[in-house]
Amino acid sequence: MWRLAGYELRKICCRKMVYVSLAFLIFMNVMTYWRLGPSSERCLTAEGEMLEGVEAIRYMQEFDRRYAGVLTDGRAKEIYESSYPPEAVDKAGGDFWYVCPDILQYLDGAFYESGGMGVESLFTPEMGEIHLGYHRGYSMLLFSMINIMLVVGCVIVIAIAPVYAEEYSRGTDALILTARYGKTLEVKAKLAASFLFSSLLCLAVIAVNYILFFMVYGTEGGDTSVQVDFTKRNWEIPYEMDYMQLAGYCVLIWLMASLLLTGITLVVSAFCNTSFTAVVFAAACYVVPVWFSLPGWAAVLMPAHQMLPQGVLNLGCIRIFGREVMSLWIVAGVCAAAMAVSGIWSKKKFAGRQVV
Amino acid sequence: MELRLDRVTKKYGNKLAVDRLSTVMGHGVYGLLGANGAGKTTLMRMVCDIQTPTEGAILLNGVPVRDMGEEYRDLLGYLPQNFGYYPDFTPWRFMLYIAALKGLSKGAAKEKSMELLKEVGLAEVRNKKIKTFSGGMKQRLGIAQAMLNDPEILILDEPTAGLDPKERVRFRNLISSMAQERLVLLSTHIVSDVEYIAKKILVMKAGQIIHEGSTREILRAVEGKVWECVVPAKQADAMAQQFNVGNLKYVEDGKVLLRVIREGKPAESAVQVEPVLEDVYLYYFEG
Repeated sequence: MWRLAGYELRKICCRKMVYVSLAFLIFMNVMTYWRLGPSSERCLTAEGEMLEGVEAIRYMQEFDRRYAGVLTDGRAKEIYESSYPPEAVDKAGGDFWYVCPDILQYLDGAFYESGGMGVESLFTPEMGEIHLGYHRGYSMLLFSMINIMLVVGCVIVIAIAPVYAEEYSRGTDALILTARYGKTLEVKAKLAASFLFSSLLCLAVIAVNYILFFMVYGTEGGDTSVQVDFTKRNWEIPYEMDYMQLAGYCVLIWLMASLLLTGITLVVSAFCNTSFTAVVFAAACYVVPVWFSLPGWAAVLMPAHQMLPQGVLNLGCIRIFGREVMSLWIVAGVCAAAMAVSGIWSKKKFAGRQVV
Repeated sequence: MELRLDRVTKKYGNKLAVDRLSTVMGHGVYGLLGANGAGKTTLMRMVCDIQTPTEGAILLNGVPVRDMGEEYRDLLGYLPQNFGYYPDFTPWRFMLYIAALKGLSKGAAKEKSMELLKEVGLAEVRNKKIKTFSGGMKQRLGIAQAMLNDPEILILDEPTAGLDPKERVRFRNLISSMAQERLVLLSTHIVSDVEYIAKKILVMKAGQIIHEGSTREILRAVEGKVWECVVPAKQADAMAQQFNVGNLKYVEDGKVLLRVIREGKPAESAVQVEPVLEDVYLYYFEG
């Protein structure tokens, strides 16, 4: 079967549209890294000097290191009162809260804009102790990855939609289905190659971006609580989690989304007579749900919504047999079942095809 | 070996593509003759188990082929009417892929692929992409892939389409040489493909076999009905409109030699001639 899977993988990878979409993905990745990566960083020093790029990153890391630790009302007050001289604040004007070090930005949102609420009012006991620290690398990485992963989904649709549909339009289905393993091992090989392609693509994109960001930002601040980033409201996770864990869970969610999308695309491909219609319908399955205001639980089962991991992680926990279980694992279970069903369904449809 | 078709029927909605067709085949070449829309391709697809009969059954040695699954497909070689291929594959890679589908080991696949590519004259271009090939070259590749697993049942749907006369003769001799120990079912419009090599001819019309037998037996159907006459060109035009004309050739003095298939004499000067298979085809499908 793996010999056949090799041929199927080759068929997937050697289409011109796949090359074009991969080129677009690389372009998007480069543009995103340039726009949101280390070179776009800015920071105002206490002396009123504006730093950029790696210099800004190193300054912010040193500043945040001084105040890293468990967040308390006392510590928040200490940070506010000892940080920046008024002259530096006046110099930046209205932009100060965008160019000051992260710790100040987050506290501004948590304690200043909300009218001086304390730690206990802003964070629930389920979130555990809130740890401050420099985590901007993680923050920017995950924010930029969301855009890139949405494009990865499009590449998957373009690459996988022809897996069955192209056999129909080329007339090669007649050759395959009359061969000894055409209705058995070959269909399994198609599934294996499709899921392998999607997982490798997803993991390669993640690996490249993670390496690029961590090479410059480092892994410092992985123990910072995600709830600290309160102002941006990116991660409203109602239970204890730090940025290192978040980065890991995001990898899992993106992989899950990629594989689920592959399963859906395979089913569409098995039912469509041409690659073009398969791409159109699969793309519709991917993109259209984004336009509807689906309830939380329905939304997180859609691959496009899953590419924005906040939706899955912000759902919280569910109590099962007396234990708190992250909703992520329930969603993962449902997605795994959906993948299995879609694989079996598409396999049966192709193997039972009446060649016309 | 016995391949039995027992009242095989295929309907598409209200349209009857194959109508209660029954026949028995064993080793040897079977030529399936019929016009477009006669149901030949549908019949072949049912024999290959890639279309399900609406009624009836196809049995190999008494066992329905549908129930045999992989075992049946292992015995089968199929060249479809519109041979599908992957444009960016080379013939070598394509043959190795089909060989993998047919369950050949890597070593056997390479050996057999090279042998067949040499046989069909594509060995020297085996590393060029199929999209650069002519129609005839693609057809030869199709024939080669059908024979990869040394099939006991070889189904060829219009295999000589796109081949020049020399290639057709070569193909005919190839099929003839291998038909001793296998069943070859070959559909064609070119009667010379089967005239000399077929053990049995099956004439198909409107989903039914209207005549079957050896070439000699088939020819008996039109014995005494094939005429040749030389007439003036004007009369030839009128006769071409009125009768089933198999051949029309301009000879000297503005006259035309006509070959007519008809029950009675088409003209006073007409003489009876020995029928050939093409006359049978025209008799059934043009009349």
